[in-house]
Amino acid sequence: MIHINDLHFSYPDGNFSLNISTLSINSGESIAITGPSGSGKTTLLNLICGVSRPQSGDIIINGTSLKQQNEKALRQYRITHIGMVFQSFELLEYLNVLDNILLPYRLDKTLYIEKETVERAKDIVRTFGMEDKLQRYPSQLSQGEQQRVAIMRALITGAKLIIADEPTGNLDPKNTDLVADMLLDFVKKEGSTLVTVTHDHTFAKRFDRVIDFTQLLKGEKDA
Amino acid sequence: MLKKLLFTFVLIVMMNGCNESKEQTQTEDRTSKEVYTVNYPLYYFTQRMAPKNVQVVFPVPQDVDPAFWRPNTEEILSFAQADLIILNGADYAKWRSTASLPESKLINTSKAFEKELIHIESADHTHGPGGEHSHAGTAFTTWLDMQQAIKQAEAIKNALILMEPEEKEHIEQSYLQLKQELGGLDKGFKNAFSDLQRPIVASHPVYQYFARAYGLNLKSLLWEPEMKIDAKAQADIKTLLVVHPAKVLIWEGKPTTENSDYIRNLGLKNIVIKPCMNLPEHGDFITQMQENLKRFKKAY
Amino acid sequence: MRDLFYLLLRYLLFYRAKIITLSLSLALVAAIPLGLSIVSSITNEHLQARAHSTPLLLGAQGSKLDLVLSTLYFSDQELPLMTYSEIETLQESTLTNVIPLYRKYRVKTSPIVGTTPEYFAFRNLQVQEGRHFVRIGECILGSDAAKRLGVSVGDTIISSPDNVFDIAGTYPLKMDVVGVLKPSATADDNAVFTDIKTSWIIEGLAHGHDKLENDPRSILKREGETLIANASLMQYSYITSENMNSFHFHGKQSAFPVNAAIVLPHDHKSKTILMGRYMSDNPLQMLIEPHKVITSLIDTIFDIKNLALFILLVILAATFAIAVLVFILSIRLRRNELQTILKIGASPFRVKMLLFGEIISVLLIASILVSISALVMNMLGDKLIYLIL
Repeated sequence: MIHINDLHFSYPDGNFSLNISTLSINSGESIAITGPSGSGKTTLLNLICGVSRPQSGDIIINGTSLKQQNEKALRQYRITHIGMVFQSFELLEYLNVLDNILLPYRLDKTLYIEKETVERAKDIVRTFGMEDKLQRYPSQLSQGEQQRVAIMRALITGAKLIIADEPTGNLDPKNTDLVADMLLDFVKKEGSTLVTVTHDHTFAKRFDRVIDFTQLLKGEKDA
Repeated sequence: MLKKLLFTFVLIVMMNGCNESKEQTQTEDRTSKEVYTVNYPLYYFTQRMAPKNVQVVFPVPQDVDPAFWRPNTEEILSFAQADLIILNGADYAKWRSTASLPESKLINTSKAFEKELIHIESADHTHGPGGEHSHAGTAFTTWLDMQQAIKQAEAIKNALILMEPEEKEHIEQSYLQLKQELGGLDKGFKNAFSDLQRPIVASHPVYQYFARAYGLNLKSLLWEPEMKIDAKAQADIKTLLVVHPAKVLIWEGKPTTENSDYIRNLGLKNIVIKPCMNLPEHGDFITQMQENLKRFKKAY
Repeated sequence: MRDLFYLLLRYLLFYRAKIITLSLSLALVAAIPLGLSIVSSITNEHLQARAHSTPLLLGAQGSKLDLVLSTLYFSDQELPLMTYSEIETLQESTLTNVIPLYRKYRVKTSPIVGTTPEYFAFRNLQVQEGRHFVRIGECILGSDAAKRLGVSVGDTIISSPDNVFDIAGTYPLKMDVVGVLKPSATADDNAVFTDIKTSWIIEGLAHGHDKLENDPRSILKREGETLIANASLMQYSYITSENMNSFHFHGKQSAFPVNAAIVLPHDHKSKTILMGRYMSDNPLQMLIEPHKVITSLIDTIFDIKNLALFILLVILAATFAIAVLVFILSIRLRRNELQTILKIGASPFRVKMLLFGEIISVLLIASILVSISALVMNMLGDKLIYLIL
């Protein structure tokens, strides 16, 4: 599903650069990328999402070369094909649970909220056990609940590629397990590809494959 | 030929009709005005001088003394809505003191001789901390002095001219005619009374100006022509005649037979001199004054 | 666009306290100078109109401004008195019509204006209900006075005592309400109009009582032809058709008091002659042109207004600066939110619109509030002036 070839990225100030010679991720696979802080894992995720552009090399997702897409196309692709989960949840304080989940539909003019969309949202909410909290606001939810909402937001469009940056980073062990179970079960059921960056090796073990980012940077072939 | 004649005839009639209606319209174009008066002499003078578009109104019923008439609210409203209100002055129309009339429409016809008005003393009284004060009255039959009547007519003339300046000529002419007639009466009264120093008694105090103007030695009682001369009245006249040995008693209206007999028995002649305050039963102001003069001449 | 509005609306509703506070602050600071401008403009218009429609005013020597304000706007300034003889002198001059005014008493908060029937034609005041007064003891009310006093044609009102401690002085007079005037958006709306003679009755210069001869019990003593009454003699405080004829004035009308008179010269020449007479011959009275007095007043008001406006504009600028600061802080606080939205896939345009939407909303709400207050001020401006005056 995802192929990375001779990718080179550096920030304008030149303080950081990232080089990946090759990386392949199969469709439906769950990948955990581990590595030290500041090594560039989040940067890799941004490159995969198209948030950042490499100076050279290419990322091909399901046959689509990101290098050949303009900004608008990348955004379009991202919102319709990629679901993103952030470490700090990044929910909108002024939207309730349902509105937060449906947020992607309000950010793109090609996506419409239809009856089926709302039904899908309610199904996902049931799966994640929050059907009685649809009208609540993020400030009224626990951290675990907030992260669940963030995950549901990533899943609502039916994106086949889920990118999660430290999804359990701010959660206690109990919620980590809960969230991990729900996320992995859902993507498995949907047949979606999950690429996660995590420090948590226990969490990482639950994935299909664990990639050592340091090794990846050194150019060692992915497993 | 007949058709032509008929057509011409119709045309002439139509043109006349148009002219007439034009004249009517011209007359109607001049707004009609209303002038209210408070007594008959003023009504008469105003009627004599007013142009056609001015309606003169004297609303006092014929059987009421205008000096003591009290109009109701609607009547006062009518006065207030008039274009001019002709007043006698000399404290006539006492209802005016409690009524609200537009000052700019009021014409005080005795203004010119205000200083010569005759004041009458009446019962005084006091109350409150203000001290003694008087409710003195003013004799109000100003028109019985023909020279004063002329001045009153002049005041009306001036007011009418101000109201209808286009009719000045007509009003002036009418005034001059009236002035001549009143002047004639004045001369007649002066001639009739010129040598008359003899005491005269009047039944009612309404001849003050008449007496002053024509040199009459006059004293007044408080009688009415139709009242019964009772013992008190008899005593009053007898007391008066002691100091004022009159040979004539002037009545303001025809006395009853009883009254005229009593006076005759006292050795006085009965003469009626009508002050003409209200609409006369016959004639007008001038003819009434002429009749007054005739009756007096006949008596003397 | 609909989704954008939805997100904006949810934002505004969630942070309504902040939005309302900001909007109100901006609206208030903008509305005050605007309101000041509107009110001063309306005041100017009204004052000028009323003053220009009044050719000349006669009053006793004193403050010209007091004379104008008291006579034209029935404000509470106490004027030195003249006698009615001054009115008679002017009337006799044939140069002018004169409308006397005597204003001293009130019916609760409404001034009683004693005058003559010409006042209404002069001010073009028309009757809405009933009729004009035609007798003493009758009154006609301005529309606001009638509402405020809760009376209409057929009711009665009582004049308020001049001074609660003046027990032996003027006594309240009950008057019949015979008419109510149509609204005129002037000071006349709050006045109670009566014949000037009725005002003099309230003053105690006239009264009615039974004839002394009819009630011997009310006679204290007789001195020749003079009757002296005792304290039992009843003096009426309500004029009816039964007792009206007994009402009489003590003293000459020419000595009775008047505050002022509206003088209507027949033409320009008459006006010039009159002005000349009063400037040179009369140390006790003054004849003034109200529009000149009002113009001078307005010039002063204008200067003060400009100063006030300047201060308010400075405050407005400061408030605006604070608002800008609040917006900047708001943007900073929303940085994460906006970056998330960008990452999810929103266009930069959408993000900007969300951001500016907040600013535009605040400005829009403030504008609406300012517009409403301007509208209200315009509608109530007339009444506001007379409240102030």
